[in-house]
Amino acid sequence: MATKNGRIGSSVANIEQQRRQVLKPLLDNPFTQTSWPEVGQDTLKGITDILIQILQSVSKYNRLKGKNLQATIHKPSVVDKMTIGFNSTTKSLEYKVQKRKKEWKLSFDNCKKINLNKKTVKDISYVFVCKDDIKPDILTQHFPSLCLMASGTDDEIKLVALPKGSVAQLSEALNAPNTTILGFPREFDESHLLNRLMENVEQPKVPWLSTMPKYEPLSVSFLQTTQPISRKVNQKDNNNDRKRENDQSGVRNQKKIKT
Amino acid sequence: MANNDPSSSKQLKKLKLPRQTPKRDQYARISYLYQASASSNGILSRMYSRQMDLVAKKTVLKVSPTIKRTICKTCNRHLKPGVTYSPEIVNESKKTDAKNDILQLQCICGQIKRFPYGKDPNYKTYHERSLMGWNH
Repeated sequence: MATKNGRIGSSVANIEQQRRQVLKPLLDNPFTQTSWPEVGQDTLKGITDILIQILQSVSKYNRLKGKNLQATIHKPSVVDKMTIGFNSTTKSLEYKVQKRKKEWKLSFDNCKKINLNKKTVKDISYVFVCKDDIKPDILTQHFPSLCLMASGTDDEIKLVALPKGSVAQLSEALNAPNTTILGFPREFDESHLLNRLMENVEQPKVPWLSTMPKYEPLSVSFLQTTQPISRKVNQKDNNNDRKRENDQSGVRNQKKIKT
Repeated sequence: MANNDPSSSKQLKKLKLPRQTPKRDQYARISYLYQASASSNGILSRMYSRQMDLVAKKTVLKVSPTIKRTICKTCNRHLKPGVTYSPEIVNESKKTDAKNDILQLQCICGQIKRFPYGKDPNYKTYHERSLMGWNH
């Protein structure tokens, strides 16, 4: 049998390459149904338009800020209340979770708490994530459960996955590359339009965080992979060797006992 | 070895899924333990996670990376965002090149999981590439 390498017969290199295909079972994550809230197309479009408007005003302010014209610039009230980017948004949500630990009956153990700088933490209620534009998925996985845990009865935190391609629009509006994750407060100057649209948005569903979680049935997935073909040529000899060894050791032990 | 990667070689024949899952009882057991660990908290949750890990090792079960990523390797805590771990994007390079972006998940025990996703944002784990099907 000639292989790719041109090796023929049962050379060692050739034997190593002989593998058969097998299916290996793998325990699947039972919590696959963590879902982002579904939002209607019209609502999404409206939200994106409003976001672009707000970001444009923020970008305008940022541009003029450094030029010593402060008397004439109108400072949008969002600037100090919003978060842009992964870290600041996540930190703000984490701070809210820590405040609500009694509601969730969470024990934080005796370990040190998550360190949060209170200056960077902001009071945000709406989170917008360009979910389909962010790669890999692991960067956005935590948002549904984090938002759900951070929201209480009086302050619901809403999460929206913006449509694909909105990164380009947002980045252009804010004049900063890779604007993917945004956090907004509930109340600022032009918030009434956003508030009305956000009423249609539901909360994210995370079933295993509910007080009485349901047991998810077992799901095992199968991976296709390869496995080396084991050769049984020397099995007889090996067995004989082992037998001989055992006999000898037995004899030795008996001798020891006798002495 | 290129042979180890089924997604790269095109000559794969489709294998039939087995009717019965091998070691089904054990898989059901660790699945239950994992869910118990997720819905409880404190020392009990850690104990369930540890049990799950030990049973999986003893009976040689394969566990999905998506599960293993939600359990701290040091203290066996079930990782919940904002409660037992905090995610953060770190970039330690001087020029803050996007290639060096690293996602850090820090457990409250201090253990850090690092995902250098900047190197290859399209990277997929082996189980994502070669998944065949499910048995319930």
